Amino acid sequence: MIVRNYQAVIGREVKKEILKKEGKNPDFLVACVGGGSNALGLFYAFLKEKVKLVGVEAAGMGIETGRHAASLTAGKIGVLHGSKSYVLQDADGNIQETHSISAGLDYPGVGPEHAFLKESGRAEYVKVTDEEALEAFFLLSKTEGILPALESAHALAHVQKLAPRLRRDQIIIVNLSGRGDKDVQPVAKKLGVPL
Amino acid sequence: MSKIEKVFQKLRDKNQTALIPFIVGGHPSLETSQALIWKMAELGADLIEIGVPNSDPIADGPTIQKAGQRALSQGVSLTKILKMAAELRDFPVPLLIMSYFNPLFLMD
Repeated sequence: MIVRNYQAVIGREVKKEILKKEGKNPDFLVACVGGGSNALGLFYAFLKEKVKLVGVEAAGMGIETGRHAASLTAGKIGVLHGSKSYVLQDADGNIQETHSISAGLDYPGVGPEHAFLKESGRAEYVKVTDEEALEAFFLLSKTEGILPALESAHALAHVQKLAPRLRRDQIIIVNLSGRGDKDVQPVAKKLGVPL
Repeated sequence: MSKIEKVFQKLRDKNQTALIPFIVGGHPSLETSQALIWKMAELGADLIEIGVPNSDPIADGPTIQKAGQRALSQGVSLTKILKMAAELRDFPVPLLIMSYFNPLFLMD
């Protein structure tokens, strides 16, 4: 809750700016979800508005491989790190090993407020694989000259899927939660590019 | 009065302190744990604590963490430890199971 309160400045600023720029709220808010702070920070100011909220989790190598970090999609309710929420765990209640190409999303739990938003239907939670995130990482780098964090690249990958389904007058706001400078080495390593 | 309270009452009457050893259940194996528990009772333990190994033993020190890790690699779980404890029904010394919250919550 403390983290959400501090991060909520994101959503408040977004609301101010979009109303100034477009005179209306966005149709979609998209953000990556690891523990959930940047997503909730974006969503919080819009919870009572008519805006669709989409959280994007890390599907890693694919949910079916078990090598992922999609707590809301594939976890069950448990208590981890002091709160009751969705947790990736085995039948004995031991926490599962998670995997994601992005360190920030590589976490077996998720904030309880997201669990509530999912169960109440207020927010939708989708998943993106390592490969899809990498593709989005390169896409933004090439088209905009902005290196997104691999975490944020997950949200971008979902926007790639979502945007073509919408009308031109609809607005998607995606939280570019971090810079990808820190990811240059892991990406190069993954692609076998010597630096 | 519960079995545990009876033990403390008896000790209080004799002005003695309780000896309550702790072992990590299932380390190095469930069979050895059972043997250890019998031995400890034989040697005078008043109560015995059996710890359930956990994937995230953040409240434990390195020794117990290591022991827990070893037990987990053998497939020890809360269920197996409860089964082992159940086999020790009417054991002369009260047994206490110590677990992190999540496995118990899941078992609900």
